[in-house]
Amino acid sequence: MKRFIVITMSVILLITPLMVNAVETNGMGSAVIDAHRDANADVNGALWFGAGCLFGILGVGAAYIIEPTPGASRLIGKSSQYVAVYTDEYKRVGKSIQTKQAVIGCVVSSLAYVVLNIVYVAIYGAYIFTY
Amino acid sequence: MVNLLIILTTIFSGSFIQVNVNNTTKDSIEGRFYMNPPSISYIHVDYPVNQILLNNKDTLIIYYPESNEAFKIVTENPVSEVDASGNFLPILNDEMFNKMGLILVKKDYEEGYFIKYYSPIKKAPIKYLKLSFKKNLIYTMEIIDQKDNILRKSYFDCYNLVEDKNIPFYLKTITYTKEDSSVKIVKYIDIVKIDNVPDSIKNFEIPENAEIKVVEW
Repeated sequence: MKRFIVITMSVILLITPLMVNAVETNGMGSAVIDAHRDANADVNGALWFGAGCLFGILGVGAAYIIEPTPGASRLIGKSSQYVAVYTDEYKRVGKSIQTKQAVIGCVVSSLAYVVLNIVYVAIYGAYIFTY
Repeated sequence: MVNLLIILTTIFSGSFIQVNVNNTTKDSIEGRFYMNPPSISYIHVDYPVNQILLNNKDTLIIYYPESNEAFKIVTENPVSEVDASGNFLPILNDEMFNKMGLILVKKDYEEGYFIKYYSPIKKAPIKYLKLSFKKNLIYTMEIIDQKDNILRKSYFDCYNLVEDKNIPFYLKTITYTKEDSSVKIVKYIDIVKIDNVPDSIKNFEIPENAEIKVVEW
């Protein structure tokens, strides 16, 4: 009986930190998931695609520099660990969406320009725009 | 919650219970608040964490008294939440919507409800803010995107007169995303008009020995 109690206690002592760790990880996992969901919902990809199209590499640069801003109401009642993870992840994901869309916009507009020039050269024998 | 009362023009205090439900979790938050719009909003969360949120113009302070940790969130866009995001009290008028960059574009009747459609003046992902009225009080508010999808729908109920303003003491907001939806229910208790925000709140500062993380948005 004594041996059984010792073994049980040992197992509990070994498992407890793992359980606490698991709870913490779950909490932070939800902060990451929430930040991903909110950033995807908030950041206007089309806008940054347009910025990439119109402003080329400047649009890409702006997308990287300008950080998205999540609503403060999402942080009410959340632990400090959650707030720390959420804010970092939201900024990271938001910026990544902005930059990706701006790069796509930049590439699409560059390709369109090249194609247009090829067609124009084939027809008129000169470039549309020369720098 | 933070931006729910921000457009009020008088100083209010009260307490609230907020319940958040999504596909995997359900949690509730309880606390008290003071609002001195548009500059100061103070929320003291009692449950599930001891947390103080003080929103003063361009800075949001989140402080945890027990662990003496603080976040100082500085934003260049202090009124960005007062947009068509769907979380404010329905004591709005056309002038207020105009300030938020929205104009009235259509009026209608649907199933006995008077409906108003507002649209952003500038090009935006949102097509309409659709409000339905019952007995001159806002009953629902929908945020509709350019593809006519409802992004968010709020229900307002349990109206009470606080001073001369009808304030809904019950607000339910459903937010739809591609994958799922989430529900937020806020119940207000004892909203009262006060003359001034207590000095302890107005002059609140993060203790010098607190661990502060500055976030710039």
